[in-house]
Amino acid sequence: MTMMLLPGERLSGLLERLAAEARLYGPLAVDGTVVFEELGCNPPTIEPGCPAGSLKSLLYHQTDPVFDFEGGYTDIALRAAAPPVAQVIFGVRPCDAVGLDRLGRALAAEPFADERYRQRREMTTVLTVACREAGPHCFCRAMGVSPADPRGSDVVLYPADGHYLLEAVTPRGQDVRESAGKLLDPAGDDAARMACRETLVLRAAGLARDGLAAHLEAAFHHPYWDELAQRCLGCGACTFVCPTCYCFAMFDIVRGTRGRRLRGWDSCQFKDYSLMAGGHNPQPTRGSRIRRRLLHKLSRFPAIHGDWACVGCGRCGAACPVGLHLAGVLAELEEVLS
Amino acid sequence: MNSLVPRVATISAIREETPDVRTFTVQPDTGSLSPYRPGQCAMLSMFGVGEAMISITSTWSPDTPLEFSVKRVGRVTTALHQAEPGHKVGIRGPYGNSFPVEQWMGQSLLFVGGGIGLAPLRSLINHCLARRSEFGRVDIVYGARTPRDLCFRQELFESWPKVDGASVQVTVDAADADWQGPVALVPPFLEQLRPEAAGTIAVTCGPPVMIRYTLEALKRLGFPDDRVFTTLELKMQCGVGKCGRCSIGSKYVCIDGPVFSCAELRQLPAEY
Repeated sequence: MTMMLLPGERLSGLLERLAAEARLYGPLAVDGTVVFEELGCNPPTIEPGCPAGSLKSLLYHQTDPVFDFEGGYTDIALRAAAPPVAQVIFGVRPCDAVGLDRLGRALAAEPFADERYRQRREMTTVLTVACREAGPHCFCRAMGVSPADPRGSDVVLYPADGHYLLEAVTPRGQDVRESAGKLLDPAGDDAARMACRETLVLRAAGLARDGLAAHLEAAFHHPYWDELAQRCLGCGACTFVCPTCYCFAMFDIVRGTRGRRLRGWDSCQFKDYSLMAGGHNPQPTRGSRIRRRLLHKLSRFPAIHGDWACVGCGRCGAACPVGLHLAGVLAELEEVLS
Repeated sequence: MNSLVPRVATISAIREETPDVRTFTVQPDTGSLSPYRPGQCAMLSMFGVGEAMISITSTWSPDTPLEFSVKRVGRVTTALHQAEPGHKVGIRGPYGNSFPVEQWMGQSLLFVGGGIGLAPLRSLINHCLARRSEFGRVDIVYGARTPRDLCFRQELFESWPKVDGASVQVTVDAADADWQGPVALVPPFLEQLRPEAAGTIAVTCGPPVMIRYTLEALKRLGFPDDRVFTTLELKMQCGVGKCGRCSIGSKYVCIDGPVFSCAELRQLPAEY
């Protein structure tokens, strides 16, 4: 794929062109916290590591209408939710883009593909900015994700001094390159990409382990899970900021004769997540719920979908009120499992 | 089409089985559910309240009405119990796997039910009795807490016992003044009956604790794990393997279940 060069001062020109054709989103600092928002005229906030809010909020909305209903007990009409509109997201980090691939494997899996997610994914163009520097919570390399990873991206921009190296990864990415036209110059080399491939991710060091899934399943009855539970507050923050967590609940709201069924993110860390109407709960303790989440991410999801349900973004650790970091858990598991 | 959007259907009839179990006949307003197999389930919606996964109690044929027997336990099932004929509901499905009946040809069948667990078994029993000649003996063992809690009385006491080569044994945990039959919990009652394990497939549905002790009883009676089947039930929101709730290991009860052989259960982690 031909590399092009985007001089830094022309980035706003590229964003203007993209915003003319679709809704443009990117990382923005809101009260000091970087989240994905509609950019408008604001320049994106690109900081080391990933934004506090994950990309999934733009493709798999926190609450999303499934359908509207209107009528009474004996006469009711349903109206499916309006289809999504085209969107371009700039400033995605490679881990988040890979996260979309993982979300898609779960949500778009046949035979019951989630049409809302699939439609939104088809209407979304992802422009990723690769990482020259890791953030304090990053451990992507431990989960097989590189700071220059092109998976899930349509375009990858590799930052260098005063410019970006621009690579179109998909046909949709080539459309972006073409619409950028004369904003782009030919690139002399791909040093910026090579540099991103070499970016140091300190937290990932020593975490890779062969056969992790089997080791984890073997540790099913280990007291470690209850040890974690003594620290965990069960708040579920890790699941909400996670780019690959996709559990949801459905609920109805009613206003007179009209109503709406919504789907909203849920968390497997909540006690009533699996609590049945009759009182039975297969995950009755906090330890069992922590174990379930980690086993899902590192054993069961890989068994079903072929890869980790973790991309090493480190948001779980950043968001955790008691500082439980998945990289830390993986390091502790080294002791537990040995 | 979004797989989470149900089709609108109408409750056309309601039959009271017990003080807290009613059987609802549900007719989709447009089209029909694709042919369903014994053991499969469907998501029933009460608009404005929510959805619940309910096993299909009827046995599919082009002109058999769709029936669900529902115990009043939670929000959705309580709302269903407050409904009257003519009430609109939502339905999507059928979902899940089914009993592998085609592999049971020539075998005798032992059905062991408890309480509302007879609902998924009823679909299977009527399916097998409609093909009576394909199977050996058909023995039905059923129990409920009290005589008032026995479901499907007409079939239990009238139509099923009349079938050639079929037997029905009914027990209750606690009798009332009119009860003449046995008083025993299902698992020990089953063991007393000493059903023949050789050449027999056993299927059990009921409350979790009954299933647990029934599986142990069947083991003592000599039934091998791969010839014993049961159904699992966990909380569900989507019914299509996405919402995450009903996972056990890398299986989802909604799409990989609800039917599991005892041999399959032993491969699963203790998460149900």
